[in-house]
Amino acid sequence: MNSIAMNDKMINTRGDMFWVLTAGAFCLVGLAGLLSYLIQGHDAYNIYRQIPWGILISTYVFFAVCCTGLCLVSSLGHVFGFKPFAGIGKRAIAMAIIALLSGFVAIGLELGRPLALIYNMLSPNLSAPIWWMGTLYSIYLVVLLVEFYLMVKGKHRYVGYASLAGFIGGVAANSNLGSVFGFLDARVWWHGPYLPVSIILTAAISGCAITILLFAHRYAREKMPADIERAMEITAQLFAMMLGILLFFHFWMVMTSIYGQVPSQRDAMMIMLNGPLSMSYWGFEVILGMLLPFVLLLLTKGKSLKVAVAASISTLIGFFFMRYNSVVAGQMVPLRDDVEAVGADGLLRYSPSLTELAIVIGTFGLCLALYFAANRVFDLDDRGHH
Amino acid sequence: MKVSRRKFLAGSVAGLGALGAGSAGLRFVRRADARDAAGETKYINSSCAICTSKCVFRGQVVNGVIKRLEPEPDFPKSRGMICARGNAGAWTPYDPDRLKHPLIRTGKRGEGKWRKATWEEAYKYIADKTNQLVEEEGGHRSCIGFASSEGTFQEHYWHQFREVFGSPNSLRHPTLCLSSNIRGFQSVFGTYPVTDLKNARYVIMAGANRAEAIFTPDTMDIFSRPRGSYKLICVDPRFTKTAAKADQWLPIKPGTDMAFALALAHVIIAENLYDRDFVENFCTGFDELVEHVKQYTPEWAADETGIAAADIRQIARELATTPHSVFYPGRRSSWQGEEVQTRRAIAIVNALIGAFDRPGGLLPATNVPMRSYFYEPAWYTLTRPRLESDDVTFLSPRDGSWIAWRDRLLKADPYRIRGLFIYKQNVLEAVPDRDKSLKMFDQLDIIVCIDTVMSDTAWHADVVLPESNYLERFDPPNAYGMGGIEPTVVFRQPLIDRMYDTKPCFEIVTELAAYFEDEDGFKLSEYFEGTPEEHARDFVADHPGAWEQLQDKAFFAIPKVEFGAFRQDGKEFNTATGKVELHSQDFADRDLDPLPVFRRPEELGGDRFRFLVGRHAIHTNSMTAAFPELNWHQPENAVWLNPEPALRLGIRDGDTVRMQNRTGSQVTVKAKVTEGIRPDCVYYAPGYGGISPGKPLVYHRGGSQAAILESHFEPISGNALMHETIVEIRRV
Amino acid sequence: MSENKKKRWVMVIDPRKCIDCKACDVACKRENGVEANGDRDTYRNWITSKGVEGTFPYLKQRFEPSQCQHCDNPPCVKVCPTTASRQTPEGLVEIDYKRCIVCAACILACPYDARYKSAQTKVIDKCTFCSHRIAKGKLPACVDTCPTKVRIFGDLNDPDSEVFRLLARHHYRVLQPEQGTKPSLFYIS
Repeated sequence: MNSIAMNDKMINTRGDMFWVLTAGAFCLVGLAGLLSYLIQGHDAYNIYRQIPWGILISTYVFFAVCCTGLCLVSSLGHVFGFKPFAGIGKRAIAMAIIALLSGFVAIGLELGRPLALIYNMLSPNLSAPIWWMGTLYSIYLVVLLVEFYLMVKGKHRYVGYASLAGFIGGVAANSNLGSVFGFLDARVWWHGPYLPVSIILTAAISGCAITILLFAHRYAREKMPADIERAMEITAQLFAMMLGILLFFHFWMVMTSIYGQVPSQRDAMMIMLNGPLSMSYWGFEVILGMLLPFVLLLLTKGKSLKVAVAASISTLIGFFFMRYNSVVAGQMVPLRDDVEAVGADGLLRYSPSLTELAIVIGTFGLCLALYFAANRVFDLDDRGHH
Repeated sequence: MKVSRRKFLAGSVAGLGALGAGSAGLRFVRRADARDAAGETKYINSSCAICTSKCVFRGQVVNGVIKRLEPEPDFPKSRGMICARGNAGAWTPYDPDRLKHPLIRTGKRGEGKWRKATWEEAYKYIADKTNQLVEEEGGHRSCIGFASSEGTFQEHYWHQFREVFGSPNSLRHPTLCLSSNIRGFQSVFGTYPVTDLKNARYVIMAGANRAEAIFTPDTMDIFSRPRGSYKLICVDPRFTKTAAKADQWLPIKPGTDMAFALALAHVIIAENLYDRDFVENFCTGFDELVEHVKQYTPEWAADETGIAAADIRQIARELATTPHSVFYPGRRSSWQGEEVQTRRAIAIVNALIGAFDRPGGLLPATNVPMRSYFYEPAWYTLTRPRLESDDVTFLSPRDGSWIAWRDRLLKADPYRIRGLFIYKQNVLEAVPDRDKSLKMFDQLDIIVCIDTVMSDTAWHADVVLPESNYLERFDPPNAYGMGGIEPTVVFRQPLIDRMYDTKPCFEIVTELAAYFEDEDGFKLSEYFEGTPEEHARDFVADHPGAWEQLQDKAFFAIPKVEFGAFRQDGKEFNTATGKVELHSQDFADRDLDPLPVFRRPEELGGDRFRFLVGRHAIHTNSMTAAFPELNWHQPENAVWLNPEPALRLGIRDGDTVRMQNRTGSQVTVKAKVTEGIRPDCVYYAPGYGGISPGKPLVYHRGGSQAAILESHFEPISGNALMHETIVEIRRV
Repeated sequence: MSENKKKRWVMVIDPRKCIDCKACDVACKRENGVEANGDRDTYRNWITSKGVEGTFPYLKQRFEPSQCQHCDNPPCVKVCPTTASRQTPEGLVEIDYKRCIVCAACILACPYDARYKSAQTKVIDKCTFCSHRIAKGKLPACVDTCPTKVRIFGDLNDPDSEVFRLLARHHYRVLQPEQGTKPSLFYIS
């Protein structure tokens, strides 16, 4: 990292130095977490019999969603022909790959025996959403790498096809990820078509948010080219529009969950509305994740980059908690009566262990570090073919 | 107790030692499993030693390691089951905290400083000290007490040693358990009967908790029947699992069972519902009883017991009119007040409804006849009666009365006790008032303890002798407690070789006896002849094929007892009059109430609670709470408290509370606020709050029963009264 | 029973007989070499209870012993990416431990809380109906050890079996029928 810090034009200001140091510190925390995991195994996590999926899964989902989102935004230029977006593709795809890799690290450390994944090929089960998830994301990663390669090599003729493949792969893999939860009939609150659909919508929103952040940072100290500026404006407007849709979509999900008073469905929703996760839900998921950025973007009509950046940060933080809430709340309603397992409110409990938190921080550190490394190795400005 | 699993696991990290303890034992099994492919699985039958029921199992031994104790389906007493404790017993030989060799104390008592000794050193140490003490007491061997508990035939060898040694001071389990029950029923029926629950259609269980205090075959005989084939009335201040299974639960005020029984008798007589045939043909004293119970109306009993008069009336009517009904005698009766008389009242109710020697009634226990174990008695010119012989009306010479004896010992009245030899009894946790027991220990110059684990008692002894585990041991056939409607005999044979330098009790006492002499200068070891195997063959020699069946099956049975044998005309009961004595002249002659007279228990007043004891199906007294496979179901006990007083005292579920009894003994324990107990009572499970690190899972974990129990006993049978403890509770 | 006819192993449970004594738990762990080492999450069978319900003195407590339901339509098998969870021809749901990636999807798919991550083997584990015993004509450990014979085990395809007769004579239910899992555990009601 020192070498990066020394000479690259990207990293010659104090602001970038701050980010590099942050990435380094996060990575160190992550390594500590990794070490703890290697020593203690799953005992280092607070996941247990009734809540086997914890914050590492939600972090993985967060990254996977971001990845797809970036791919969607980049496809606006390469697939759907939005001219202003042509220049953002390379950076977005690079970040998509990095986000996906970070997500893979999170889930890799959650899987008890990643090496047995070989049986994903030797004895596949086509009816298992997780098999499709593994397969689709593997293919998707390859597609993204190919797309990025083509972009770097400047083979613009093929980039369009690769980008289309990336778009399809992203939507397929991402909506399939929703089905990993949505197909679990036993978890009534997850079950159903809401998650596969909403996850695509949130992916697009995340993609917008990250794109704004990436380019705001890139052009923090120089004049943003007009087409990028235009692209940012459109992105912010799309961002606002989709947030509006998401708000309504979310509202009806909440209403559906509580309207019929179906016991575990309602209970899971109430955990967030007025239960152990209410702070995380109202404060982060609803206000930071949706309402605040929506209001900010509406007020400025997407024309202020600074406000858009604030909205993006707010949304991404909110969405991280949204994933966490969704994963945890879906498991907190016990499947059977077990007076010893539950708290006074009849719910199971989960809060991440230090090891889990350290690994999560590490994945973000990794993500940042890889991004700065990519900046140094590749020219991520996609300006050649104009 | 609402402790989330997370919290529990976090807490358990502190107890890593405890976790290690569990895993070390199970590692043997894992090793056996690893070799399972080689597949040498043997089945050896033997019998359980985790409680008094001695259920026969088929020991699954894989490559020389005990993997599991499977139930023997043909064994009639257990009806082909092994309970949780019996299953968990397979771990005991591999318990890393087992006693592995003799130990002699080097530090202060209870300090835990020991030196490993050879058997010879240990014997010599014991004999030198003991002989010196006997000499100091002028040659009176009664200065040494002998404590033991029922369970194995090895205990008979223990008593043989005591007898040839020459001490009358034997202390056994019954006065901590059922001696008042035995006395009460014996005074009425001339026997302490078994109950045919298999055919019973209407059963009252007052205090008896058969769903949790598993006893063969009673537990199986009632609860394995389809619901609706019987009606069960549970009378208990606590909502036990028996109460959960009952058709009706009556949370009676503790100490008033006699009032309940007398009111039943009142209704049955007043409404002419009694079994005229049985009463006229087999009972005596009916007229006195009629007069006596006139005062005990259901309305009167309602005030005393807290059970509605209408309920009492209805139960009395149902009991008297349902065929095959019985008021179940239960077993432990070391409760409260006039215990023997309470049992008499219950026996009288059974007599009134003719619940004797008929399906679903009481029956004298029939034992498999076996040849006796004969040995030469030793004769001593210097003898003294038992220490507490003036304190108890009906004192069993072999059982003694623990509480009375200890009180006498502490006062050195009428003579001094200088030493205590203990076999298979955890005196410090079994006998109420641990502080008092520790004071007793302070007065003793030698304490010898034979056990398999470092119990609280062994931890406070001077010499600890390790007995072989019951799965490594040969125990001769035992008919004690194996009688009943389907009488059987069981024995034990080793499933595995002895793992450590341990010996069975027979070897220990015969070897120790070589270090002692009788008055004539003969070595006491000369009183011991033969081997347990030879004794065993001899015991069953009258039953052809029995020895072979024992080796194959670990039990043999004689045909089931037919009903009616004890009810024929002219058949005498084992009482003074030869009749069922509703009115006892014998009692009158001894200045005891000839008919049960109810006396109201002490009012508690203020925020004071009566402390109750009772079982859980995973507990055999203090023995099993530290078995890892059982402990996880209840890692720590908690004191049950009704929400009403809990609210008043500001105690919430999971709070830590301090309890104090009337003698100032204190216990700190967690609170479990539950509807399942009367507002004037508290309860916690046995086996926790140990003071020996040799049982790491219960060491200073939870509350000890012996620590909070006050010491009381009733003078007719000498039985301890464990529900006479009154405590105050406050939040810490 | 005819030799060549396919077996359908089922368990008939009469929860009203259960006294919550935990024999089934300990017997299962011994028989299957399941080491809990004090871990409260490690068990293959259990007794469900809400604890004491009601207000003093009007109380009740119910016990419902349970374990893997060996469903005919097992959701755990559907979601397993590597077919580590699978169904045998006799209807048992079994785990091929070497294929398990410990993604825990099966734990979440199971509506009965039958599965857990074993700290001992580091893979997902659950009740096997003691398949190694039934192959030798023995009963599962939880069945043979039970003091009150709450569990009855047998072949439902055999009209002479006790399970067949019990189900023919009694009203019964299965747990969470709305899940469509078609369990092999039947509860007499």
